[in-house]
Amino acid sequence: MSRETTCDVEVEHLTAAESASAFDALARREMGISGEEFLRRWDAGEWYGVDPDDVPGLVDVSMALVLVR
Amino acid sequence: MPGRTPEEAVHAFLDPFRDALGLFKGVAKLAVAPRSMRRGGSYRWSINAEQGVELGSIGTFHASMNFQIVDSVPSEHDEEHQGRFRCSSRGYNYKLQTPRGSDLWRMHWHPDGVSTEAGPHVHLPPDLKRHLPTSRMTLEHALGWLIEFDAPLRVSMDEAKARLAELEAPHLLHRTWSDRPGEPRG
Repeated sequence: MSRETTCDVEVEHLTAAESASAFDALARREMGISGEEFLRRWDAGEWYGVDPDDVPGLVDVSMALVLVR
Repeated sequence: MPGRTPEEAVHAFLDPFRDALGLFKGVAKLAVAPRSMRRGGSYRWSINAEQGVELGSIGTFHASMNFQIVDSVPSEHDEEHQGRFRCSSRGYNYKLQTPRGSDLWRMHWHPDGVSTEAGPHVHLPPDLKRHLPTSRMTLEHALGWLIEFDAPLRVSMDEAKARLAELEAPHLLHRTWSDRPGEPRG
């Protein structure tokens, strides 16, 4: 059972472009903004000092920064 | 489990997650980024490149984990499982969304942010902003919740629960903390 199921779930190593695309899609789905806009607002400190759990989607997107940084 | 190379350590880290996710219908890929593997590097995996997996009428399950490749501690592993590198988780985000997009539950650990709750916690409706502290939740634990929500399985419910318990056991044995990072061990 375990061997068969393991084979069914592939590991995919994302390219930089694929990572950026995944980040963009995540930002759009969770916060309604593009990945580029998220990065601009993040770098401007818009959410500095804000509890990420208080802003819908902020935890999801900020945790994924490793995809693009 | 450790690996002789960073790549081997990452695969050893991911294999139990692949096994556990393979019990459910619909999971296709565990996406990992960035590509180059090195000691000290920060990485992330997610189900289907952040898209999650649709589980029929119960909704969509999203899971991701941030991790780092670190030096292995030989004394923590038996002779069969030695290697120079291992992976150490640095945060997780598991959640189940209804088909309409509202969250049924969120399991969080995001120690790097400015949240008032740096330890592991869950959010439950109706007040999804409230932090409910928990011990460190494994992916297998979250998948066990999915079974309780009647997620579609490739095996029987009993088989799935038994397999998740098997897969979770080594993690519970080897992890460096259970409730809070840096807690006393012994």
